[in-house]
Amino acid sequence: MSSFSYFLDLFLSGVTVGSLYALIAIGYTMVYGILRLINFAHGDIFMMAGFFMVYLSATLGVAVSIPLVLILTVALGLLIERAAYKPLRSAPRMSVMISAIGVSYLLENLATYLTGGLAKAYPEIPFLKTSYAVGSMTVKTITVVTPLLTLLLVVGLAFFIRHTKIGMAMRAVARDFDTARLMGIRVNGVISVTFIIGSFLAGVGSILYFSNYGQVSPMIGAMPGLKAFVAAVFGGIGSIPGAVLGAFIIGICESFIKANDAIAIFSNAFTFALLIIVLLFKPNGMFGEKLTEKV
Amino acid sequence: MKKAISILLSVCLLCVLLAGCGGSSGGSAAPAASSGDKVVKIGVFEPTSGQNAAGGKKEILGIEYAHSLYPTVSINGEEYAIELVTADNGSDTAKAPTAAQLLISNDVSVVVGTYGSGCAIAGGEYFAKAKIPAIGTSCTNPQVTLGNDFYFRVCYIDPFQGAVMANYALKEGCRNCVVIVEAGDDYSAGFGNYFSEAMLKEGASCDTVTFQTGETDFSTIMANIKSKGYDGIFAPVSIETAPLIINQAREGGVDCQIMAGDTWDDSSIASRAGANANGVFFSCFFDQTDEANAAGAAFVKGFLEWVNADPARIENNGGKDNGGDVAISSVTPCGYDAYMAAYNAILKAQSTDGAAIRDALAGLEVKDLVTGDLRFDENGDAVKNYVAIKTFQDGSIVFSDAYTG
Repeated sequence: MSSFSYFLDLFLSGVTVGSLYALIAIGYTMVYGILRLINFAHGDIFMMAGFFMVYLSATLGVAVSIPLVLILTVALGLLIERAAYKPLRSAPRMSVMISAIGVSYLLENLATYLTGGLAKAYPEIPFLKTSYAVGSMTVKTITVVTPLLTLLLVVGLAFFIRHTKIGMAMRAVARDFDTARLMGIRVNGVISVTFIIGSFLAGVGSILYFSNYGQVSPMIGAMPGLKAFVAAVFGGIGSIPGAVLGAFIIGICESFIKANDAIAIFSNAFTFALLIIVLLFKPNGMFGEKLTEKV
Repeated sequence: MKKAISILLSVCLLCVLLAGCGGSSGGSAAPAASSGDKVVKIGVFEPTSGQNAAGGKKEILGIEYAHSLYPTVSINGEEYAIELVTADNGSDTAKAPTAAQLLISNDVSVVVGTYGSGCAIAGGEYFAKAKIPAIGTSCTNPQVTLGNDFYFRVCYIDPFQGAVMANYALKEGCRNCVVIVEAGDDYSAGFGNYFSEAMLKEGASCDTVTFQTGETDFSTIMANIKSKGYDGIFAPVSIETAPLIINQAREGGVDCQIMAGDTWDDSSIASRAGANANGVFFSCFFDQTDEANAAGAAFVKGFLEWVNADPARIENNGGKDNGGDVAISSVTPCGYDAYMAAYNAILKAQSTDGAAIRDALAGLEVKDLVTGDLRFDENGDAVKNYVAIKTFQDGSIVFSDAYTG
């Protein structure tokens, strides 16, 4: 077994995992940029999207379920925003964050209650499940599709933010919430669009993630959510390219750490150690906005 | 108006708090006898959530079925109704003490369970302190009963199981194995260790790879295994992790023999791993097609009837497999046998006192239980020498071999 293909195997699995974290991290970083809120419930929206797919495809078939799942995930994100975050918009930042943690627990326990706590098998999406041999390696289609799709979506999102009116409105609200409101920008609409985009990406991420691993369980959103959050902080919370880059770095490092028997057990610890180091030395992250103190 | 709403909310929250405190606190009980009758409580210490939930629910079904056949026990000439008090240990050694204390505070006389040696060990010290005997169902790690006079078990233990599986691996021609173990899990680490020792004793080589609880991505471990060229994988992991390992091994191009232990006897693994699981072997306590076991056959017939009568029970048993039948996991008879041990011990002790029941258990002998005759040795372990080896075939579990003695 040549060491190059082994190295490539590890690298590819790191890139796949990294792109899945990236899709979730974008949701975190966008919501923080605009609302200054760390949406801890985001990882659990990702988990709920997985369960939507499991239940919908049992009755409707996979092809019809995919768009429905995305719509439902977006609806869930909007519902959470309206019910749990909007009423607290004028409250201190702590309150909204606690509300987010509350929503996270609510979703996890709701899923545990409704599904009985057992993992459910995720339906197979035909073209994603194939694998083909390249040289001496077997490469799964999904390993290639995931990073490509992620990059496509990120580029699309960057275009959207730079070249459309709503994108400009989003940037304005992120820069200065009150002034944007004074200038007549419909801030509620902007926030809704933010959650729609974030939840949509989480939905796409969930389809790719669960197709790769084959099963959904109620607590499965917690760890990827946390790692995506670390990726967002690492890249500079508020910056989308930063979050994506952070996610890929975490994914690849994780993959190589797990490959080494001696330190494999520290793969999760590495991610959180990275968080601490970033916060100590570069709290705004790699590409974060530099806060200027105005006198 | 706002003040009124906030006052109303506070009152509601207080009521919820108090409702939780009163009555049967948190534990669900089977319908108790009408007031005035005598009641003896048996605690059911099992995981109904977390990674071992599937196994825990199946054991509870075994216990409930036994309870439906023997709902009362006669003590000193009076009929006592047996009440089951369930506590969920969440497959988590941090939650197990809370569940154990819940049972103790509910005044149970004897405890049945649990699935998952880690939780058994965690809860065991509380049962011992409260002098309530506990009868382990399928927890196979020796530490559960060693040094704990109040913990017994109705199944075999890991040194025995590890040696059997190592024997089997060698018979299949595996000389260079890798053991995949969940870090920090007593069952996984212990069982993996015994397998490893047995392999090394025969001159074969055996390495160990660990992963963390809750891990879903094994692609790196599989890439590692492929590059090192092992010819056998032994994975004593939970029901939830099993299909991930099987699927990711086969998808990653790892073709070697995969083996495991009693935790893999679950139809949900068969359905989630599908064709990838064909040819995977594991050891377990019981097989429903074994004609030689008369008590087993009677149990299978009665249990199937009982489960099929209620869709909730079918759901808890893992639904129906490919053939439209309900499969019986080998942990269900363990639940049944543990209940029967408790029942017979109460009968022998003629008392609801924990210490008396414990003494009765120590010398207890029950014939023709589902997994064979029951007798405990000086550690409280059942004297068992039967292991069934099963395999997966096209989404169902089939019997392959039996090992006796």
